[in-house]
Amino acid sequence: MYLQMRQTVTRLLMRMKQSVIRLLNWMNQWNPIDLAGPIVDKELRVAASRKRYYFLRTLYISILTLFLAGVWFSHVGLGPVRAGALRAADMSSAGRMAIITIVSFQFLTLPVLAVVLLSNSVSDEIRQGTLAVLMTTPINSLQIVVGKLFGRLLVLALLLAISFPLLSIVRVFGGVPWTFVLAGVFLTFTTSLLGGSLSLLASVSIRQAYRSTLLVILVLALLFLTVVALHTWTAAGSPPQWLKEMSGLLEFLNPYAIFYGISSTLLPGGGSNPSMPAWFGHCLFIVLVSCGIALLATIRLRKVMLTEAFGGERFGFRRWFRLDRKTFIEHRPLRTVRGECIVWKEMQRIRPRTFAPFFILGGALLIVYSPAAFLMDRFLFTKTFHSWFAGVLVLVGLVRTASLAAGSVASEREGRCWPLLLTTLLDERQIIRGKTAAIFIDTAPLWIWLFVHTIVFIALDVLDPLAIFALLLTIPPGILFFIGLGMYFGTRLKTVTGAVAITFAAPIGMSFLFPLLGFANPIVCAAWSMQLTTENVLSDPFGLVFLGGFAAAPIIVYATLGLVFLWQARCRVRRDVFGLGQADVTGPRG
Amino acid sequence: MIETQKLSKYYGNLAALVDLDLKIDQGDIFGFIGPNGAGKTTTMRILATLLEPTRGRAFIDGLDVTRTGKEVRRRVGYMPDFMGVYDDLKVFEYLEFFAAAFNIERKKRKAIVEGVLELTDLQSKRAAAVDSLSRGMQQRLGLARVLIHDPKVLILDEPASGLDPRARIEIRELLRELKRMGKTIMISSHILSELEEICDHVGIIEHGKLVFSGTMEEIRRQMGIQSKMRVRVAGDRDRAFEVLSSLPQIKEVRPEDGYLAVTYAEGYEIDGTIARTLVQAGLDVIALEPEQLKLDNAFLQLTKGIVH
Repeated sequence: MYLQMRQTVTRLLMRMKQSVIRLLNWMNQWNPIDLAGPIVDKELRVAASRKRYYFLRTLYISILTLFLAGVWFSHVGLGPVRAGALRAADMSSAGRMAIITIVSFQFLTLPVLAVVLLSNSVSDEIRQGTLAVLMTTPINSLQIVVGKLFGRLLVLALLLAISFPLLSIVRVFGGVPWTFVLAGVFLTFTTSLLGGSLSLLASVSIRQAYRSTLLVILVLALLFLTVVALHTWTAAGSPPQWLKEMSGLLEFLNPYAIFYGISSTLLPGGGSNPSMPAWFGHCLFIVLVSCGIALLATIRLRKVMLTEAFGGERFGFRRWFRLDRKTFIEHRPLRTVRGECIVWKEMQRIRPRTFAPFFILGGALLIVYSPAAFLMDRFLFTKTFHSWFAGVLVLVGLVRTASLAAGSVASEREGRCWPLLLTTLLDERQIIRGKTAAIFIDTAPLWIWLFVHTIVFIALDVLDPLAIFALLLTIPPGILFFIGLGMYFGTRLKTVTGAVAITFAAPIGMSFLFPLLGFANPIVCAAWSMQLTTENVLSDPFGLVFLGGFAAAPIIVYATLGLVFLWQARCRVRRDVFGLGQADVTGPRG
Repeated sequence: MIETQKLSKYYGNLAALVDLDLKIDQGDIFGFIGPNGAGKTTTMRILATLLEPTRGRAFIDGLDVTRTGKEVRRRVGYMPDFMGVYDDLKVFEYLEFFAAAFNIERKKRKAIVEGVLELTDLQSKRAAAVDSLSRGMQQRLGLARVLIHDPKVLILDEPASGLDPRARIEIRELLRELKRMGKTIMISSHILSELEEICDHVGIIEHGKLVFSGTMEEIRRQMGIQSKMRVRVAGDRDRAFEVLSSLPQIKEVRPEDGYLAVTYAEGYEIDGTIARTLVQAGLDVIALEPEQLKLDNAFLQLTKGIVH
């Protein structure tokens, strides 16, 4: 009897075990990681083994803590604790500001991080030849795209998750509705998804990660600037009715506008609580757009995989217009080396004279002047427009300068051409001087445009003649600084992307450490140059001092730093030629 | 032409090169052999002024590589093991750029570039994009680049690696042509049989130390390896065995796969004695195959295959 019962129980347990295994197997089919194939798994393993992600998380938490501490001390301070209602009011105010700061910080940084993380996702596979290996496996292009996208976005999700308990605790202080926290988290994630998928699409076509990063950041910046421009135009003049009607739709499509809308409700004097349907609808829309971009990336990746496997011609309008560098080189006639050979060679690298610059210049002229001239009444004659124009142009010029400078040495090191150049009779000074000259020649049209624009509007009596003087004093040190910084990191780092990333991160870090330096940066100075008036400056001693300091600070600090970095770059030309690190440090020789 | 004295290079605690003493005469082709990580590339990089030695000195044409870098670079053409190319340039432009970088006058550049293109048989590719060339063509382009300033010394780090047999033969012929032009060539390769055919001298390096340097004859002498001959006769093989065993210059005779493997006594070189003796004894000689010391065998015997 006992034995029979035992057998029955054992049989039942066995059946239950089999049922559980069957259930688990069935559930495993729908495991998102399995759906995306082994790529997600690989990406997660890589992410777990890379020191940079641990560093990123530590840095992220440190910055959040710093922000929190800053907000706390600015609202509550170290003084004696106030009693009763006053204390509660302080806590509530501090809590609200802390949450706005953290959510805003996340919203602005995580999409950029998503862009950076995905910028080399496919291009690295192509460059290392592993894409061809993937083609020999049953993994399809959709699995690659989904795997890469989610594998890397999980790193960001982790960062978002880190901040969530912090937000929940701070929320206890009161004054912040849950919808804001939720909206912030959702908007951050969907904007990161949009940035990530755009970056992935760019990385399918663009081999250099920094180029795809800059391109996608430019797209995101344009989105951001649309909001600012709409608000500026509305405030400065009377835009046409259709533009006013369109602005509502543009704001709904624009994550930055939605975020601005919901965060302004929490600020003193803000409106009512954010409406759930607006941001939720926007998030759904962005997810759909991101899915579309991912699908486009899948189709494009498939074409690239086939081209990689079987060779053949490039496709699309890029080939037709010869915007594609490779096609252009194949079809252009032979060129003769003229002038300094290193300048000539650099110019072939950075500007292969395709038709692309004409498109870019034409587009830029159209974007800048047509809305200002036709849409807005006399907007071309306001100093606000010229401030924006100068600021944006200097920003674009310096970004181009910095990325070219960082890439000029690093690209040769990455492409293993550096030893070939160093075994010629060119010395360190010639190499650095030639590369600097080439960068300046490449960016010269932007600076010429800015100066011609300023001179024309000075002649039209819109701008003050002091503007040209101020620009001349502020822009050259900025150029020198970024060329020096880029070259220096180019000689230190093995990859172009690394050099470009540090060249951009270093001034941002510097601005945090020395806020005055951040304030007196060439972009702000150029924008302020347009607001100057002779009367104010000459009549007011403070104005004269301000102009002197305003011009002298960038000149002294940026020019000195630029020269120091250029000198260091020159000293490092022959050091660590093969990127072996500290073990292979040699000095420059004659 | 090339000389190193106690040349050493350390990467941290790792000794890549230890007290290397090397001497290569003008017009020689010197084969530099060693397993991966033995220190060949490090030596070549030091000679090409791309690395600073930790200790010791190196001279090219009597010039110290660490002190007179620019003068040394004028005399040296260095081709690295993995050559990068400027993918924005075409073949002619690439060579013209390097000609300009070596301060060759503008009016002379075209003729010089055409000359090296002809020498390396790349005329048909002059207008091709550099990165569209095959591996073999890129190696040729590398050689063309190295020759552009007519250097006295060529330092070639594995120029034939990754090439198909046809391209290898073509590179070998090109090196012979360069030797005829009086260039001093230092070449490293993993394909030892190739070096054997073109090198006057070889240096075998392992674990950063030179384990042998000299001619092929000197290797054989140093290693005490006797010359061998494989003989095949028609008819009475036993008789042939007896005849050969009785010769004073023969140390040992033994049957081997239908042949007779004959080992010469120490101090005797391969000559016509065996053939003459066998014919005089009335035996028909079908085959006589001298078995020289192969560089592969010497390499295996001289090195232990230790890699850093």
